[in-house]
Amino acid sequence: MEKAKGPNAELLRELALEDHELMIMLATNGKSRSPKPY
Amino acid sequence: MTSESAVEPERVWYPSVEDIIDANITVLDVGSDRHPHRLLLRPEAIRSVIDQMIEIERKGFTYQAAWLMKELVNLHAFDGANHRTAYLVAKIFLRRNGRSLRVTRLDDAYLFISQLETKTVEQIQEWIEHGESEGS
Repeated sequence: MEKAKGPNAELLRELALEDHELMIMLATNGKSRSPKPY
Repeated sequence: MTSESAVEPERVWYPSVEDIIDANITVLDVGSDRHPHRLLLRPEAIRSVIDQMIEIERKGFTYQAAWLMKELVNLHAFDGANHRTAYLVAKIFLRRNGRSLRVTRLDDAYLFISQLETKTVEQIQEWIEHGESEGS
């Protein structure tokens, strides 16, 4: 998986992880609140 | 004799094109998305959205964040995760300018963000300020 490399990459990741469950719900059209296995 | 204040107003932080592209890469990664990151438009299209956002600075941070969310969803600059990207970019814009946006009601937030294109800028601003926001 490609990784962000810009000057705000670390903060973007931190902010996304604050809403990890929401990110998963949006990624799965609301079907899952749990991370998919890597 | 009067003297002018030496205190200059703080400059507003704005995301760069690179930040917005990085936001898309990040949400795809954090969401373990199977779709690879792919930019569908020229970077200048994203730059134009940022430039227009700067022009409405007088309307305040939360209005600008709401406007940015709606514009990024409508622009559809990426192959996937445009809603998540718009949310994350609005969140970093608010954070970098001393505000915060934190979701507490997951189901409500999911529905709202997934239907952003049907919302007005004013509705999104209301959601940022009173629905799920902290400290704005």
